[in-house]
Amino acid sequence: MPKHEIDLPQGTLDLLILRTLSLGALHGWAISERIHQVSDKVLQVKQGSLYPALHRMERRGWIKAKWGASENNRRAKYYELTRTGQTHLEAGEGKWKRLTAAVGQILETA
Amino acid sequence: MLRDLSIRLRALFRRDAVESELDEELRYHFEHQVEKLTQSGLPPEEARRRALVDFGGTEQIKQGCREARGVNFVETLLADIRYGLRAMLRNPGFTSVAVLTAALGIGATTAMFSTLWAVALRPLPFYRPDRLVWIDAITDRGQRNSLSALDYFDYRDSATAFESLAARSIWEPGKVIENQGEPERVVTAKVSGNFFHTLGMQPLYGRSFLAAEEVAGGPHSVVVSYSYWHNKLGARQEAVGTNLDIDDSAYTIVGVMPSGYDYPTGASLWLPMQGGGDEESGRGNNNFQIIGRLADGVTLEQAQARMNSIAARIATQNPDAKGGWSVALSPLAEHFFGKVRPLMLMLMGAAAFLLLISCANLSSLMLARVISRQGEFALRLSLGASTWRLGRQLLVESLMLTTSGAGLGLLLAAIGIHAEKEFAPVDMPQLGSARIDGHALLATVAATALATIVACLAPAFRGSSPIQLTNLHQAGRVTESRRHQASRRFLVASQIALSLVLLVAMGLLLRSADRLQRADSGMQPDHLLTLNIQLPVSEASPQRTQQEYEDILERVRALPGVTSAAGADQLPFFGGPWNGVYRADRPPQNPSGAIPATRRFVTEDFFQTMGIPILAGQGFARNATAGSLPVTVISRSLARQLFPDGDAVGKSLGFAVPLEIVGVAGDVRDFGPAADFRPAFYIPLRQLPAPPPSMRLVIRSADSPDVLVPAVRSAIREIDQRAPLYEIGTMDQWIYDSTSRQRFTSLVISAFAGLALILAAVSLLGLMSYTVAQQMHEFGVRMALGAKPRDILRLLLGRGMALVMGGTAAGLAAAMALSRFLRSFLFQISPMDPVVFLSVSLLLILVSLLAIYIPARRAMRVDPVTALRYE
Repeated sequence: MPKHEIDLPQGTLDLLILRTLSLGALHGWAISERIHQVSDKVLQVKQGSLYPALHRMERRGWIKAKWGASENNRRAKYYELTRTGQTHLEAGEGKWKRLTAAVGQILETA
Repeated sequence: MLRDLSIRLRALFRRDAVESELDEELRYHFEHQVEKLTQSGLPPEEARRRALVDFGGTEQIKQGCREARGVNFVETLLADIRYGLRAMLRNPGFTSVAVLTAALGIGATTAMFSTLWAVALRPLPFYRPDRLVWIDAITDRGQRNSLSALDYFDYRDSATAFESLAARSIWEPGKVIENQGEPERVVTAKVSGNFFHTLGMQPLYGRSFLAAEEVAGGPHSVVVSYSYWHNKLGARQEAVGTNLDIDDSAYTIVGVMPSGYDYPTGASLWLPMQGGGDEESGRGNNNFQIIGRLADGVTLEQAQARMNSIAARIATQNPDAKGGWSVALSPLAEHFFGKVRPLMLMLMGAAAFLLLISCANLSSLMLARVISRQGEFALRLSLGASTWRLGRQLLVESLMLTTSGAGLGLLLAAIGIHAEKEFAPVDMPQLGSARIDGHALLATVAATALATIVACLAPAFRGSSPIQLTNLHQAGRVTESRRHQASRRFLVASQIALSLVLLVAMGLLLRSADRLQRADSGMQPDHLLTLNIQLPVSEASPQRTQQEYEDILERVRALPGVTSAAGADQLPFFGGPWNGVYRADRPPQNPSGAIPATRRFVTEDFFQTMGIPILAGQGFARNATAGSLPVTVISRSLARQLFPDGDAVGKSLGFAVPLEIVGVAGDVRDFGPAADFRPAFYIPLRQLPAPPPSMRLVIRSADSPDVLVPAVRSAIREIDQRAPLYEIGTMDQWIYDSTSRQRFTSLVISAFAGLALILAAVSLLGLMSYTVAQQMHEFGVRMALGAKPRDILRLLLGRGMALVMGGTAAGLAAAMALSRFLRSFLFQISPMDPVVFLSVSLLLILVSLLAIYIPARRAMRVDPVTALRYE
């Protein structure tokens, strides 16, 4: 399958994960699948980036983890958004929109 | 944040659980991926393989997660500690030397600091002690003196600079207390009513004095000290309100002071000044000392200025007693600690020297270790470790060594403090409260930190600086660069220099103590028993008391083993009151023309018993009585001052009445071997109208004086059952006690100097052993080329002694510069005493020679073939 490896800056990955989780609790695999699908297969998050990011955000209190039964009836670690995470998500979305708008303006006019 | 902390803690303490969870999480992801690929049509093995490639390195992901968990630092630190511990255990020799070295330096520093704190730095137990002021009178001759009660009243009424002024008696009248029939003498102090209030001492029970009790004829009240209340009154609260029989009068206990407030030291009871009595009348009876609490906002200088004007007024109004007198104010703390502080600071300095030496030792040891691990460091660097990581490893190892040393050092310090108390000088009672407390631990921590920093500094500079990979080739062969060698030599040389300074101090103090011991006291103190006896003086017939004293002396003289016995109101070594005297034929115009001389009332055989020579004249005749011509014997220095050209015998001494001089006696020291000879004059006891309140007996015994004590006691009891006897001891003992401070100082400094010498010698030994091992190969070559063992020895000696001489020279220079600070502690020895400097240097050189010779022998003994093969 074609692989478009775009390097995401660290903050952006966090944002994507938070957004994905805002729709409901998911385990790690599902998060990466969802991002892959929703981005039209453009973004493939590597496990080497995903899991450290998940653990870091858990420590910061933006997401919290729970072990539960998965769809194939095996034990999996589910992550869900916390209120702090929600706040951070909204702030991050705002910043991202402003950033992209600004960058877009410069690229168009230059 | 709480979640952050709980996650970190869990990661730290439940590492296994966290790790297996991570494992499971990642494995789940992997399996899911494999499933997905299988479902999309790939065969299982292919799916697995593809998933593996996608996944990447599991370990890296795990490490990323571990770092994200935020305990990485702690985990690697724990790893460093475990590694350091293993390294320490693998080299027990090195570890024990390093720990012991650190322990010596840190322990000495801790012990000295806690002593310093207890004796010289601790804040006084009073309320806001920095506002308390000690007031001395300055005589017209510029000497410090006490003041009279009348002076005190004048100051108290006029001084505005002080919130309150209090007075306390210096002449501590010992009172006789009837305690269940057995009379005992108790040290008391007379104080003004506001004494406790001024100092800020709150009574434990009861109260301090009321204004009504400060009046002549007022009620008899007394405040007791904690120790008296605890030991003699059963520590019962009901003691307040009961009566004490003091000097045959009933006194009511109105209050008890808390412990730690025995001021003046040793006072068991406090009585109020009541305005009457001999002590408190007369401008010339300077029996009191004044303490004041400064008013808010007033500085010491301002108070001094205002007191000066009051003093001037008193001087003008009382020209005979106080003409030309003034006052001097000083902070109370200085009065308490001022005499002791210089000594303690000097001892603290010596401990600091020892600490520096042990730090240098540690540094040298660490440097040697790092050199031998160059190969290991090079390997780790090539595997990707950062120099910071290696540096941190060194820091952790040094810290482990120094903290172990600190632990052992605390133990040594506790032992040292305990030993200190055994040899404590008698005039430093505060030493008893020295112990390992918060302040001491502060010193420990500071010393440990210093030791760690110094221990890391030299190796850190060389050890983790970019080491070329070429060092890997030499991993088997340990070589030392020029710079390393120079650093170690410098360290050893500086240790030798510092040890020399301590050794010089030790030598000077020991020599001084020896001189002190042998100083001529002016009498023959051996075989002398002294004791103080206080017969109640009955007002009706003072002659009866006089007779009683004589009877006692007669009985004592008759005892077997007694060579002679005499009495005096005060003995040499215990000080004594002084008066201004002059030539009766040339009376002075003003008080400053009179010469202050110690006055003693003695029995006729006093000089013979004490062993004081009569240099001219006959001395006192046996039959002098109150009615016959008043006579005196004067000391040689007084004779020289008053009658420089002629014979003093036959002339007259001006005193209250003119006294005919019938003899000149040798000079005696007043306050201990280190004091000067003061002029003195003696008056026969018999010529006094009434006997003194207490009398000291001196008894010369044929054998040991202590044996006589029970016999003397019963002889006295035959005359008077109730008189208390106290301060019983031999003259030798008092002299010994008076030099206890010098002995203490010498002991401590000697201990430090000895330890320093050992540390320096061990360091030198270590360096030379190392050098020998390094140069074995070279020695093999030399011997193969014809050199004899003797030549090898000479070579090593040359290299070693060059180092030692350098250190010795530096040490001598430092000692010469610093020894002048010891001047105040030395007796009849110059700080530059050449004998001391020479002998101490010789000692150091001899010890160094030994330290060089021991490893050199190994070099001499080896056979050339083995040496050549030495790697």
